[in-house]
Amino acid sequence: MGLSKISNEDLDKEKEILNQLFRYSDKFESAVFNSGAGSGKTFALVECLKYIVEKNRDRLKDHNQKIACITYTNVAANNIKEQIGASDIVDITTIHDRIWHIISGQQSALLSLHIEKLDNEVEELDEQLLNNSDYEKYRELNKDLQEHFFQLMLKNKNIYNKAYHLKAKEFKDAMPVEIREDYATLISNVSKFKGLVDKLFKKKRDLDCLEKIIKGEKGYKEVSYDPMYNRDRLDKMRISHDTLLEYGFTLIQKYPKMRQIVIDSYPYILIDEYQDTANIVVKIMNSIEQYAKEIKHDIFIAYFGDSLQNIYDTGVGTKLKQLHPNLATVTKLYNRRSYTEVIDVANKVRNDEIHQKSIYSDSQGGSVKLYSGNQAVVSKFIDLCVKQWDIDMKNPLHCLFATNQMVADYSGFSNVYMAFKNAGVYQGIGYKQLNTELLSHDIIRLGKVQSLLYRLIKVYTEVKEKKQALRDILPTVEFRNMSFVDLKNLIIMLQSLKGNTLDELLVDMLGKYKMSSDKTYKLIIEKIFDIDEISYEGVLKYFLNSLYDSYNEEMETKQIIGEILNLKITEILCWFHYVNRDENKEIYYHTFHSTKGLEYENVIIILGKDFGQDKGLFELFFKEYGKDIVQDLPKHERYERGRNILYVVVTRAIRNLRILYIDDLDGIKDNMEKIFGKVEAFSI
Amino acid sequence: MYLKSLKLINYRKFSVKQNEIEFISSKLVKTDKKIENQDDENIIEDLEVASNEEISDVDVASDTTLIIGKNNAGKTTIITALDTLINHGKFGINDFNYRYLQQYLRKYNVNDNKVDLPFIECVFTVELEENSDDRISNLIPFMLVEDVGSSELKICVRYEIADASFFKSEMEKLFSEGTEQVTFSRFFELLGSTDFDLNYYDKNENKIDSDFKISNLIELQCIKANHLNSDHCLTEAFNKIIKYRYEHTFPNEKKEIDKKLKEVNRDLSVNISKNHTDIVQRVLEKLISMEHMGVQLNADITFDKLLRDLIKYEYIEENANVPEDQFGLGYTNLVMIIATIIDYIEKYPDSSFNSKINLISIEEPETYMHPQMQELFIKNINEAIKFLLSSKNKNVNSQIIITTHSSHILNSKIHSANTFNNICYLSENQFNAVAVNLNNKRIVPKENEDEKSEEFRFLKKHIKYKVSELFFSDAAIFVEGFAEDLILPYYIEKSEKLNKRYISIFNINGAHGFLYKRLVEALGIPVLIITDLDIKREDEEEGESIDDNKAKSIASYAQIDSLNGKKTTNATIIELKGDSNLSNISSYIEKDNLYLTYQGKINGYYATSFEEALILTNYNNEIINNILKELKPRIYAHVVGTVPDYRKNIDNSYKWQVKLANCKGEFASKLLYQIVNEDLEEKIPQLPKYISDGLNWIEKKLGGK
Repeated sequence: MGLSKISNEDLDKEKEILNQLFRYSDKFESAVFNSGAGSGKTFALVECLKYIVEKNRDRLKDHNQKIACITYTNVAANNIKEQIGASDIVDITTIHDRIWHIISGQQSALLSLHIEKLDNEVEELDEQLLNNSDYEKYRELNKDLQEHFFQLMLKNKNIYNKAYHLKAKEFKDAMPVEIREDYATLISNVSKFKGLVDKLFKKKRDLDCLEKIIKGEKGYKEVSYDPMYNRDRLDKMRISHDTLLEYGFTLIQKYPKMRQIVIDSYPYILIDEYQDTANIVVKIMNSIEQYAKEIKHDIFIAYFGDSLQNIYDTGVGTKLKQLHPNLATVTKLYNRRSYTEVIDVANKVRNDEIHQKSIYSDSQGGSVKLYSGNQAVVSKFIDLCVKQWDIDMKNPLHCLFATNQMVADYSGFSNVYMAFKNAGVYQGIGYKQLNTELLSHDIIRLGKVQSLLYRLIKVYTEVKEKKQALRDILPTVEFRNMSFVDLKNLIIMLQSLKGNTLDELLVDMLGKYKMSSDKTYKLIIEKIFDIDEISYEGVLKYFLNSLYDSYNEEMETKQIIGEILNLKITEILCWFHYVNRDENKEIYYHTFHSTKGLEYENVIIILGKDFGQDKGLFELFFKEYGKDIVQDLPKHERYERGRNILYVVVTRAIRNLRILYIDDLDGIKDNMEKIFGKVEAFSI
Repeated sequence: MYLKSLKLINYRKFSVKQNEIEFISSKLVKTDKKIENQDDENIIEDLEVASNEEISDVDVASDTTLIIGKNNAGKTTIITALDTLINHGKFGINDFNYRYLQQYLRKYNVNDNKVDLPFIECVFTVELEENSDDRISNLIPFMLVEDVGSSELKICVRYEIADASFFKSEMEKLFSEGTEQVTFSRFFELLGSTDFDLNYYDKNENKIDSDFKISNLIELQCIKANHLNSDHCLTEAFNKIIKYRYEHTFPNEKKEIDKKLKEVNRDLSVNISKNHTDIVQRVLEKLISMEHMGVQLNADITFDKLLRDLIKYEYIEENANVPEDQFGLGYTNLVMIIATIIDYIEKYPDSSFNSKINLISIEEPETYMHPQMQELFIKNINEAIKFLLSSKNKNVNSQIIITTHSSHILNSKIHSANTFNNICYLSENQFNAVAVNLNNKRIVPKENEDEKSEEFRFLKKHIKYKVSELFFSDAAIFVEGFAEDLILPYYIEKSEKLNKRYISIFNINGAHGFLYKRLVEALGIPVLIITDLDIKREDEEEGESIDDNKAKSIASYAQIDSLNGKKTTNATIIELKGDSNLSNISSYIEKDNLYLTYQGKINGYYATSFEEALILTNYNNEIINNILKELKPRIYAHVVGTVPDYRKNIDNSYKWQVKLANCKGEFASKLLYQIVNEDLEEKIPQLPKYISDGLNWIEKKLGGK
């Protein structure tokens, strides 16, 4: 067993680095703790929390103040919670939960923001109705006719919804005669017609909502946020993750009092993985600190992370110090994760002033090897490593793939991946989103349909899980008012939901929704689908509109989204478990992005010249490695991107690391060998 | 749903073992049940209903959980735990089991980052009935999918340190001055300044983050001992009920009264102001300047005041009224308890379903009551509740818990319910409370038999008069004969260690000790069974069968000097040893808290009875010889000869045994008379070794404390 001995000298040095940080906290000088992958960033964060607690607990308790620790994901939050144990003065959450916690009490301010947002949405709809060429025919009608048409559609809403999924001709036939005849010009193009009607309905919902807010009707007095849902339903008073940050930012910008509330409630704010944090969050922090100085209150903000590990486009990355100037810097060079062999390779990939060294005196014993091969040998290569490293459940293997398709194939959900990949919204420039919206392990980042599928499969599997707590299935009091018999019947009903394909499952679920009189069942289904019209047709419409911006109106909806509907439940389950990472396996497959922050004993990286749609990214990195290309800005940016991603994946390994390069080595072989050592050809 | 059990971990006297108290569900529902003619004559007569007619009845006796135990055994602790959690919502560090804390401190390892933190835990087990209409919204947070198929649910409440890392760093500071400096009082001081939280967990040990409180689920109404705090407490108690009834049951009548009161107030005020206000004002003016002040005198009779002062309670006793404060304390106490229950039932919501568990605890109701009244206590409560419910149409879903150290109440519970079920017996072991939940199944004399077995009925019958001896003593001795029963107390009184203890002696006629075996096992008190070897004699050596009173004239009274090939007829020995073979029997049989002893070889011979063993042991004792001489002068002369050779008693011990058979009682009382009046210690006969060994065993068992 390696990685167990630390010399006192190294321990003292590490402690000294931490002490620098502690001193900044004592002086309320905000700081950034920069450290490479595996340097025990979380360790430092936890030590820092403990230090602040030990030193200031009594004072914080007295003033009813707390320490805020902000993580990138819930998984990371739980991990830190476990390490520091119970605490009544440390709040560890994601940024969304924290901001919601802070602003949810400011309902009147929120409400006015919400009204503003609704007004904007209505304005935007009006603007489209006025200017978008799709609605030219509608504009030609006079005001009275427009109103008459709207009222007519409102009356026939059900017919409209039912017919929505029919082919264009059948759709027209299904519409009432009055529409077909009096508004023939509108309905001649069915998709424009649908677009128009949907916009009108949406506007109506927004206006209704505004009216109810002003009247102060029940359910319209408060804005709500639920981490399970990642889209706005403004007319239902619910906001999404992004809107939450937006509201939070606006409130803090607008009201000095809000800034003071944050400062006085959380005199210590520690932010984990700062490089991935959204710009807006750093802006919030900066304005909070500025204000604190103004009113002479103490605040300590510390960012923990490594700008080099910024792999999300949305993250602040190296821009941190621009957005939040005057931060003190503490840098840690010790590595607490990997064996020396791995650290050396990582240092080479990094190739900058940060040169990590293991803190352990017994850190020899890892191995890194580069192989060349092609797509066809990948599974053979994996097999070989399994044998070589005695892979089993207790000593699993982690395969990191540069392409999403391969992760999906190996994890058993290729068709799920294909179905979404083929959907309209992920074509062309939209493809970039597919990685996050389908393969993210953080459910708040899943796409709309994926998120719905996730909620659906969650309930579907949870009711079959003996040790599953019912409070997750029945999350609030409104679900729980029932007798024991009612509960039994409900669970039996939920357990009985079945279907081989998604389509069959939807039919079963929604059929029972229609027939059942069980209020809680209905509530559960409503929460899963979270759409206005809970019915099979309604779900299809939601799928269609979320996955396609435009479509062939000569096709039925069922045809267009057929690929999704026909997905096998077993395959969707594979996807679900992939997202949750909740299965014990011998071999795990990951995308490059999804492994951030994690560490594995045994790692295989399947690498090629491309990174997904980013053609030639890694080829470029290896080609330009060690050269001075700062002048060529676009090239340099791509180089950095390639480097960051490669750095992140390489540093996941603790002991064993294999890289299989499956493209041509021409022109990059020398540089690759500089980093990884001699390349060996791998063939069957 | 109802509270099925409560487990207290590290709470006050309770530690981690034998710390679970079971409760019985009791729906005080009027049921039309057929009262069967019980053939067990032990039911308290008043309760016995002679006929088979259908009657509406409430059976409080069997639906009540009785918690019994000696003083300081932890009865009140259980109720306090419930009361603290439910009605106050938090513990304090004084609620910790100190022994647990001491042990915790001893084992504390500063360098272990994963060290456990001190905690108190209460586990509530809730039973869900299959077809109940109770709302379970409060329970769902604690349920797992699998619980839908079961009927039980666990709710863990843990009192734990709020900030783990702070506590650890404080402990580090404490230990940094050297381990020997870490005293318990300093540790306790540290704990005292540490913040604790009360958290809820499901059985997966996952914390429940909702704002659930146990008081959302369980309500507890405590009727405490010593609640008679004034002469008028009864009046107050009934006022409360009448007020409540006026407000909720008869609101219209109350409105009427209020209206009348208003009139009275008005009239009175007018009258007062006319006749008296002026006078008062003038008097006051003389004292202070009243230029800017006036006096307004108004009548102010309210409904509350009316009730408080105008209603008088008197008791009618044989047509004569007795005022409250002349009423006996015992009756007042009983009526107070009933008044509280009435109040409770009145306030109980009328809805057809519940979402709460309701507990009523009655603490030590025996206070001020004489034994007979205690015996009737449960019956009285029963009658009162039956009557209350007969005028109502509601089902009261409440569990009654009675804590008591009255053997009479225990008796009344056992015999009115005709079962040992739902009795929780508390005792102490190594300073920790030990809870034992009794039920018929656990104590039927033979494991595979049920309550209908003859042995069980015998046990119930026999225990009636022995309840207190068994349940409240430190140790028990079962003896087989009158002599032991009479004489042993004297020797126990003499023992300095034993005379401070409460040791009960049971005379079980015939060798029926084993019937008690499972009961005493359950109770956990040390039990010494003193029995006889009961050697089965072959015809030729049998002088006179001890089982047979008709004397047979057989000349020789063979002495037994070896047990080889001998068998016993003693049921207790057979039961405990597993067979009747005496050849390989040890000098005693010890099983857990049970010690069986019988005659060993004394001066060369095996005795058949206590008397024989006593004679063998004290063959040359003056007192013994005098008594033998007095009782049987001719035989005595024959045995010892004219120049008394006491050694002859040894060889004739069996003869003595046979000859004394018809006057054992006389022998024993004469013996007791002699030794009580004997001043010289050395003259007093010694107990046979097998008995003194047994007493030593008890001493050792009790000495552990």
